[in-house]
Amino acid sequence: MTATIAAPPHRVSPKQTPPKRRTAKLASLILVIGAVYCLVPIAWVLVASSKSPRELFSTFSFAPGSGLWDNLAAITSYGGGQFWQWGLNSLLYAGVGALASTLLSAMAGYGLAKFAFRGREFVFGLVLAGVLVPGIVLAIPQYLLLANVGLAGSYWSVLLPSVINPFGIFLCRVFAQSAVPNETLEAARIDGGGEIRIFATIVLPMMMQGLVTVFLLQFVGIWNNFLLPFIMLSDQDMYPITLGLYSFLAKGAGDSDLYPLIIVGSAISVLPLIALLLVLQRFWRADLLAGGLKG
Amino acid sequence: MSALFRSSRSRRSARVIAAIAAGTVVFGIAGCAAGSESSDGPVELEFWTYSVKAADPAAVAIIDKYEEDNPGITIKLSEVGGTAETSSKLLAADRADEAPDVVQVEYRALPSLVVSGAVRDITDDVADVRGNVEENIWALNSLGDQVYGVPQDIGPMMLTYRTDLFEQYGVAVPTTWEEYAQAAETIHTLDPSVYIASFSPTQFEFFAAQAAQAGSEWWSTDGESWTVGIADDASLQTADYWQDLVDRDLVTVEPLLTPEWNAKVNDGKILSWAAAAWAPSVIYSVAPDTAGEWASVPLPQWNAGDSSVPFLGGSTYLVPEKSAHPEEAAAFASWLGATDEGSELLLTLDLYPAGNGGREATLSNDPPRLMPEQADFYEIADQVIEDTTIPMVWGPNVNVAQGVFGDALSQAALDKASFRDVYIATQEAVIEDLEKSGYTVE
Amino acid sequence: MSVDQKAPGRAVAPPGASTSRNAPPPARRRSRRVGSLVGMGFVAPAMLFFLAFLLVPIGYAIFLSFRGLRVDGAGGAFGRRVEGFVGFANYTAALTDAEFVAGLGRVLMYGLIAVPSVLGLALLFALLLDTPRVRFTAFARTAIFLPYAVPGVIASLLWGFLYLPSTSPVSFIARELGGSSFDFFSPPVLYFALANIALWSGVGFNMIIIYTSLRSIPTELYEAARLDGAGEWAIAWRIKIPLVAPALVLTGLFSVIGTFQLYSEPATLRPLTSTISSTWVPLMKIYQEAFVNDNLGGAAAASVVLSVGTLVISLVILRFFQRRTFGADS
Repeated sequence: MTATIAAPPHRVSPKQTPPKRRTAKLASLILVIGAVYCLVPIAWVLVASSKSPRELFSTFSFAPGSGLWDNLAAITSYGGGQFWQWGLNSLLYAGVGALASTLLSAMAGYGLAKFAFRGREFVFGLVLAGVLVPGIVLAIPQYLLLANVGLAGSYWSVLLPSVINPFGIFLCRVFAQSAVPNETLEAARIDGGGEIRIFATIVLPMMMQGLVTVFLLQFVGIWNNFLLPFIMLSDQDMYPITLGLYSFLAKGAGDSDLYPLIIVGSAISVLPLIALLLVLQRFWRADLLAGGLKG
Repeated sequence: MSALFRSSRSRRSARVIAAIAAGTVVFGIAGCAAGSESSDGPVELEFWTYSVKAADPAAVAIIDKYEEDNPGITIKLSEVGGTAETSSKLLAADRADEAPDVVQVEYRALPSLVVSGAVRDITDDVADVRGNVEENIWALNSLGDQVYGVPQDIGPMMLTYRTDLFEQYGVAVPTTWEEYAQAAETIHTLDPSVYIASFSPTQFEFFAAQAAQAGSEWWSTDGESWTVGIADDASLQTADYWQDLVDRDLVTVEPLLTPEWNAKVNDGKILSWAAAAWAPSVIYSVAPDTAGEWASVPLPQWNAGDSSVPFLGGSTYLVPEKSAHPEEAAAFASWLGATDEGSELLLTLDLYPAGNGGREATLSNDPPRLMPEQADFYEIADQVIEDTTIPMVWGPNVNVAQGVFGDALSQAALDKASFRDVYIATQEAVIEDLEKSGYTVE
Repeated sequence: MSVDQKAPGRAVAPPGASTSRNAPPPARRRSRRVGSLVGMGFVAPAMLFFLAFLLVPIGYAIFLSFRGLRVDGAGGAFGRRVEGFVGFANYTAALTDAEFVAGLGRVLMYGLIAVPSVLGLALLFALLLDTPRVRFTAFARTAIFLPYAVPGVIASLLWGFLYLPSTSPVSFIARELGGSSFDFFSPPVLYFALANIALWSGVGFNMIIIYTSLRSIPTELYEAARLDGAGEWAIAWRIKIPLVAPALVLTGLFSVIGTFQLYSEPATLRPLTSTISSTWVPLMKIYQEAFVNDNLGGAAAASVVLSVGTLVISLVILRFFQRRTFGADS
């Protein structure tokens, strides 16, 4: 009846072993409940996507319906394939935006972490303060600025502001501090490497796991961002998915046929992000495993 | 619902190429825009609209027709959203010194857009087509004597109700609001889960129309200063009327066109909708199974024997001040809304056109799909327009009023508090805002 | 180069922890200037974007907050409104606006429910994941984190459908059992309904942060405690929680900031019910002023007030937990 986990036998009190097993079961149960609760709306939207307009309001929420293919066909053909155009737009904004943002954050984080210059703390303070500003405040001034240079309403108008990432810079600074030892840098400099080369070939790979985190956060943030594209874009063909679905909502008030489209659109729109998360989970798992092995 | 399998964009590119080719040969704009200054080369008009949808083949047909008749002009459709979204985007675009060319908004949004300086005065541009639309409709599109928009459609107020269920509950069609209240009571007593209608506190324009029908003028002006009458006696009486119905639980308090509301309409728990001639197509889109059980009649009156009503809803095409092609834009808007040809085409979009030609055409139209057996629907609507002698003047701060009123009335309906106070508070807020902006208020 | 360029498996230290080994080296004077320039060079591109898209707009917004639209007098009743300097009028309007203040109150009410719940649950789940011999960790960790992938507007929409009587499973079951539909939108249930959406969306992300922090605690500490006979609860309470305090403060701070910026949940649910007004939270009021009432000056002033308030409260929180937080400077 002794536990197989290491606990020096002579110190085990009679109370200890049974509570450990109980704790593990209870803990597992609570986790599973939490997990299921988190999956409920996602499950709902996937099931609801299969319902036809009539079934949507008349059948039990989790009973599958018969209209999945119809709904998929409807959303594909709506506006001549506009929904999938929106998906591509989202990919563009989020992919390119997050890449650029990660690169710049990595550079800035590295610079803040590994170099001393005057005003460094001030810059870092600015970065943190940037997190506090609500997006709504910035939306119209940003629009006016971009309009002045003639970029409003173009893809740039959404891409350029998306590059800012104060939290990413903060994270990169932390990662640079902890993941890049100074000795390595010194050695590389003594070997005659140029700063940019050192950054590209040494620092970036070392920060990679952190960079993946930053990329993911920014990708999700841009993908989910609604207000910025709403202000900047008036051409529907350039909308990202979130804005496109919102415009369905705005129109859907008078047309109940649109509700299934909204639902199946929502279901489809969360799938790429979920896929991305699942894929990038591996990086975290490696990190966490390593952390566990580290002691 | 339509399914468009060909990409509308590739069709447009093909058209642009054709237009450019045509444009190098033909100067100016042919057709009904004669007399306006023409620009060289092809012109693309950006058209913000929620009624003329790119996904709708009937709408595309209209655009194609205009482009055919006017080589050198291409129209780019953009569905920005409803009136609220469209207004705010137009203002943002105007600030940035760029703007689309034709913009559709509901009538009540026009004055505040005009005083922002964002809208072009098109009084001269529409001089040619002035006679094609009744003056009482032009009034909705004007501030003072200046015209700022070309009307697209109008909403003659009507009551749309369930004929079968009214009969089942033994209720006659009400001709006065008092009869309406009695009907509400009868229905709800017989079946407490059924209501004659819903009460939607955020439908600002509806309450304004109610008050206007009772003789109140929420905004009025002599050209120099404003008078605000939201809390005048006639208006407060309408407040009392609805207070009574809500207090006695004879109407259900909820927003319109939510899944809940749609379900109740489908299930026969909401029996009528006091709105306008566009109501049947809206009801049909959310409750198609109930087709055949509805009819529309003129709106009940406050005083027996009266017949006048205001308009409810409807929209107009305005030309932004900063449009790059104002004359061409005004020409297109005039064609679409104020010529016989254009307004007849608007009928294919299930709108009730404001132009005489379109209105004439409705008389030979089949009745709406919701009430296929009501052959006289359009005659009744037409008669209502003749009877629409009540003007609706909207002030420059309708948005402020709408926000304050909607929030306060929602809260009052929830708390069963005084509706009068809501109207009074709204009036105070509106006057304060007008004065803060620098207007003179009587 | 003989230097091993990759350091695989290196654990990420909790945010804010910096050891002297990795801090910038004391530079010699000759290379200091060069190092300085290089450092600024790396920081420059991000700073450029910062300047263009953060600082300049903020400056412009502050500028706008002192301007307002006034009629120029000559136009009579239909005079055009033009922008002009109005001093502090917008600020007084914002601070004396009953609706704005009420919105702040609601946000506080909401925060009192939401922040402890999110943090508490995130901490609980993180601790549970870290408990030995727990099953289903991979599944739970992934599932709880998944809602992060759902955009705020869509999350509100999904929960909206789950709250609406005609599509809600809760109401369906209630009706089947003979009762009436449950109204999720009436106050005070409304606050919990909204907090629930935030909870659903936010627990996973915060959980991951705390869990990562937990994972970097050396396991020797646990061994020592177990040797002393401590059970899992005691270990959690006495060792783990104090050691992840910095992560807790960090997530707490971002939760508080997020609370003040609550917008998409009430805005998305508003069309479905009459219990949410158009200015239910401060950001909705700001949105209304900016985009509906065309009152950019008023919106800017209200935003400044909100941002300053958020900043003040953030500083208070940080200062209060100063001794627990090392390195997260502000």
